[in-house]
Amino acid sequence: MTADPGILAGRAAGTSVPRLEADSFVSGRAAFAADFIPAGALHLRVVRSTEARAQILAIDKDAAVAVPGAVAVVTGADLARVTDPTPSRFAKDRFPGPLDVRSLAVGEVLYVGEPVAAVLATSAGAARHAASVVKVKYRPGAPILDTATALVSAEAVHASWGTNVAARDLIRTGDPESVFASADVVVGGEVSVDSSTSAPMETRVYIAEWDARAHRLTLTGTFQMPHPSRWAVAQALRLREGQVRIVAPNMGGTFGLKMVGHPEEVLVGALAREFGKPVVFVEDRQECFLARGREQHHTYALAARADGRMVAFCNKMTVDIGSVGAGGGWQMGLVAAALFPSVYDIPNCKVECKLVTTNKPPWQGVRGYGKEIANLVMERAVDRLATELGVDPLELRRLNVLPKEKLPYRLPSGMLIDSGDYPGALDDLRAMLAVPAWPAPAVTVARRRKVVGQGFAFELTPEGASFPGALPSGFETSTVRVDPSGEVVVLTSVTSPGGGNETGIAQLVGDVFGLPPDAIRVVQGDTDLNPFGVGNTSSRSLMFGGAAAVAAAQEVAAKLARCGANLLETEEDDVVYRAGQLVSRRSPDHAVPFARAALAVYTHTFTAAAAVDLPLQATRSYKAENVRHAPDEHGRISAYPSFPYSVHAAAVEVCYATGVTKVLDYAVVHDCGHVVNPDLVDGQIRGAVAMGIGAALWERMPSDHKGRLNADRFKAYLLPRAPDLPRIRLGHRVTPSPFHPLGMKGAGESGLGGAFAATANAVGAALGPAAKFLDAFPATPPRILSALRRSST
Amino acid sequence: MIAAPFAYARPSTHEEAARLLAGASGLASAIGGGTALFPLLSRDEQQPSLLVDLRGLGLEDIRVDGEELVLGARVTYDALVGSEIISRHAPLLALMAKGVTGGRSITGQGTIGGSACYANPASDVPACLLALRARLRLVSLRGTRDIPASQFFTGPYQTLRRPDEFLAEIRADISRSVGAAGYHKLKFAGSSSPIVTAASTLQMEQGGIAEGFVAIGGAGPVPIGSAFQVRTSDRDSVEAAVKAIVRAMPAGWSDELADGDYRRAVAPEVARIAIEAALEQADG
Amino acid sequence: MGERDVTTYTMTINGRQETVTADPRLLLVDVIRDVVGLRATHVGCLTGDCGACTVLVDGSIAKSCLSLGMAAEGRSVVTLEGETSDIMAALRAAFIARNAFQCGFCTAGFLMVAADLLRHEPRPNEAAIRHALNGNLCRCTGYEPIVNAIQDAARQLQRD
Repeated sequence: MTADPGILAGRAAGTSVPRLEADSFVSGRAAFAADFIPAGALHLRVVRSTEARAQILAIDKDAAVAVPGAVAVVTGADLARVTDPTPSRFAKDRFPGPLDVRSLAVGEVLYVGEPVAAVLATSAGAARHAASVVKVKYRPGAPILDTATALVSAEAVHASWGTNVAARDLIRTGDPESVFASADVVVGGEVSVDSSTSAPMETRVYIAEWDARAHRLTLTGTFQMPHPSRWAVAQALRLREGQVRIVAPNMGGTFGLKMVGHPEEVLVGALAREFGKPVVFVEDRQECFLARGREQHHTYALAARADGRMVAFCNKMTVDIGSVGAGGGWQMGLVAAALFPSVYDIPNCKVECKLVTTNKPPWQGVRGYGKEIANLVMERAVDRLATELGVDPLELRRLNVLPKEKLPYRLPSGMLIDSGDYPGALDDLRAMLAVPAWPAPAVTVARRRKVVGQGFAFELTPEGASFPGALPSGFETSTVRVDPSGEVVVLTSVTSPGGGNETGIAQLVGDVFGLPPDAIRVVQGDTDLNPFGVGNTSSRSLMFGGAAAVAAAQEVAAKLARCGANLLETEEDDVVYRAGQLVSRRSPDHAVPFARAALAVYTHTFTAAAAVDLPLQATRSYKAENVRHAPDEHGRISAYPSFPYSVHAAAVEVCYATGVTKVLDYAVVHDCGHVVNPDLVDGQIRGAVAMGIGAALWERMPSDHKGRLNADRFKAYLLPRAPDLPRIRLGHRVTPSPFHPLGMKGAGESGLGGAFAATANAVGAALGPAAKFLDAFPATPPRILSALRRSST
Repeated sequence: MIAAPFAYARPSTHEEAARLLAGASGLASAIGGGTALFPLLSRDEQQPSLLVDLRGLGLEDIRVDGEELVLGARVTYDALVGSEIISRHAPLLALMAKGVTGGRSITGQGTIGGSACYANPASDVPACLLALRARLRLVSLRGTRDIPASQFFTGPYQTLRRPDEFLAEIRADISRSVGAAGYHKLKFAGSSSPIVTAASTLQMEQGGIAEGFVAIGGAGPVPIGSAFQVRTSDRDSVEAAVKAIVRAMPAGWSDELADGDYRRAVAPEVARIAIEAALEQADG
Repeated sequence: MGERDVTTYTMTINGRQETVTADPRLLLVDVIRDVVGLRATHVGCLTGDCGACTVLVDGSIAKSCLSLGMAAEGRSVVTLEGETSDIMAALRAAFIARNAFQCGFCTAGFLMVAADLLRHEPRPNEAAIRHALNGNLCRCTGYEPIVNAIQDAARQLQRD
């Protein structure tokens, strides 16, 4: 039985019903991980390396254990006796050598902030205090802090690899070299992107409770991937998977941060088992800024005919992934490479990608997952071409986007774009810019030399990541159950980081049973209750988890319909679910309440429910279509099934005297296929656009010459605030995916890359000829001023 | 939860406060508003053995004492905005305080004295105190001393305040009519600290000439100020004033948001806007 | 292994007298959350930047990470749980109707600030709302739905 696409045609799905449990959030009852810290827990404070590269010579615990409240100081050597290396969720066969990931450094440290020792104390303050007096003696080495050094260094960050190139990819199609040689117009440029981060408002929290009698560990915390975390933690702790339970309550945002693979996940579990008391880790904001990503450099070239038709694209990218831990953030570099040339119909392409290790913290997932950077680079290239040709950047895009008829379309990387209408989205965007009037471009405001630039960008955001060898790869699972009271329960493997996917799932399942969404209870985030899946990542929650829930609900509905048919004295295929009842299609005045039919299955098992296939429960997985792990004739696979897209316009005012920017207006047209809850999707895209604007203009965390972060607080890492952002005009198109049973493409990440690129292009437009010196992002005021100066000399 | 243990005291007299500070061997921190101090404590960047909460000392008054404006050290930004005395005698401070961001939770708690003593170059108060040619009254068991704002700030996060002293009052001469004021600060975004600030005051003289003063904060390690004369109808005289203050600027100061070169590069524009705003106010 | 001192003081929280016996190192937010057990108030940064810990102290809006618990001795603290005003009721309804939260972690702070704004300025324009929210960070919504909700609540209160 497959899900019926007609499910989205009416009733709850497709409408903006309010969030389930909305009241708990506005009343303050909603419980987050830190609310579960039990009395008497020991607090973990991690002693972190102050060196980017060093041998650990000695760790002096004496002063720390003397601190009132201190319980223990545990080193890497101590921990190694009771744990194994932490496995990675992603296959590591791309790496040049083995990886032995430990939660506390053993022998050497690879980055500033690496956990070196664990301090336990009876209070958070005492743990911090004791940790601050642990003396670690290092023999510092010369750290490798940039990719240029890493690529020529005789030393490798991961010594056993013998190289700092962790992985590489070469994507090629057509004959780019000769096309470039003979093209009418070639533009080229560079884009470098600083480290930035997800920065959810809630930092990571892990609470470990070891049940010594049952030999079971319960980890409660900020786990967006409960099952992969269970798998990894169990192995590191030498436990069977069934001995570990992961519980994820409400999450205060994640944006990629709270994926599996953080050292403290294992650490709290090991310490709770060793010390026989609950152990809690509450990450502080400074620690949260260790989660870096995005730092990379691109050198691109784009060739076109004199009429503007693009003919070839090439790009060399070097990605500074820092050191590699158990998490999978490094993968983002490869995903970026696989996206080129996004929505553009360019027959000849070459993309060379190197992931390079340095003595910096490992990458952690961050919204966009690499795709935002590929969109930025591509859209900067398109804008450069428009400037070179002196043509309207939107018209140049219209000329070059893949026409609707060419989809599905295989990208050079092997990914197959499912569906879309890029020219249609452009038309919609143009219409939105007219009303109310968009700020005029290139106007000098008063005598302050402020110029308004308009920037545009397409964004293509592959979703539903299904990498070969990943645990798990490309599916989610939902169980639907109807209890005797008639309550419908959905147990799903997908987790909610706050976007409201539980409401969307309830809408879908409610529609199957003719029940309102708030009659459906959606249970998430408990490995003892929920079936196996990834959790939350890559906009999969409704696309995979929702589709699985619909399939399971339909299976249960069919079972219950048998009972309904008996009660209504009709045939099973005559029974429909409508407004809380099972109704006979032929004689609609014949109806039985949903709850009564459900109860009959449990109580009249041998009469009314004689033919019902018990239990009144079904579990179904949804496994992505349009994923191909068998290499094609070019040796390429396709790990993403779904391709939402959007097109963006930004108006940004730039002050020529100071480089200070202000975003004046913003518009975006977004297409994620069929939509279950429009308000929730709007919320996702608005939030993503806000993040993209932040990434384009302000958010960066540079590190100093010793590899120490010097932007580790919100006064230095500038998140957008309410006065920084304009209202965002939103438009939607619906182009269903032909590869998804409900025509969904997934929402959640979309918007960030387009906003990053459109905002960057708007700054570029405001800078005029100086735009060619705008090659580093975010485009901070000092960088803008520097571009203006380079241009005038 | 703060990591390092400390003692906490809330004295009710100046003398008691001074005695507490004197007895703490330089390891005490005074709590003004707390908006700058508590982040430092929570991040283990300061580990005082004693916290002296100045709340009981009655340092919240804004008053006129003869020919001086007297601000208690614990006067908040909100109090500055709401004060008749300030709008009459030191409108510059109202302009500055109105522009402080962070919402009422910050502007109702952060204090002018706390900001002065913290001496963050990237903050609003230092340049304003210079422009008002204010004096800072420090109290200790050894007595009371007044220090001109032009000498008080000695470097980033450094002042002439000794560890056993607390700032009780800020005093400014209001014997001359106040005239007009202009304030401007450059910020990158709502989250950003002020990068460069400029505060200007003007006294209108005969014949379309104004005696002015401009102070710049954030461009260098300490705020600097200089007096100037402008002919209100003549923009070139504004440029001359801008040039003069920029010439006087010490080497730049860098933090994670902007380096010294950037700060020096934008300082003229920031100064120009502040002076022009003051001129416009004088015209209007 | 035991920690040394505790200190005892009383304060009023949500109208109830609370006698707190706790480590003197606790911030006000720690007392609210961990001693009194009120969990609507959240910790997001401890540097006064995010506003997730916003409460009322003696009627003034304050970030509870920027003061000591024991400095609140004798004071009256109101958290989201204790907010029963008409203004807050209107804001709660509007926040739900406008989807003015996603993860909900920052929401208590935004509600407290919004209520404070409407108490002082019953008909704020959009710029005034955005200015008032400048001390609170939301990473999910892009703020627009929050601004909309506050406008809706203000209109609703005018009508009532």
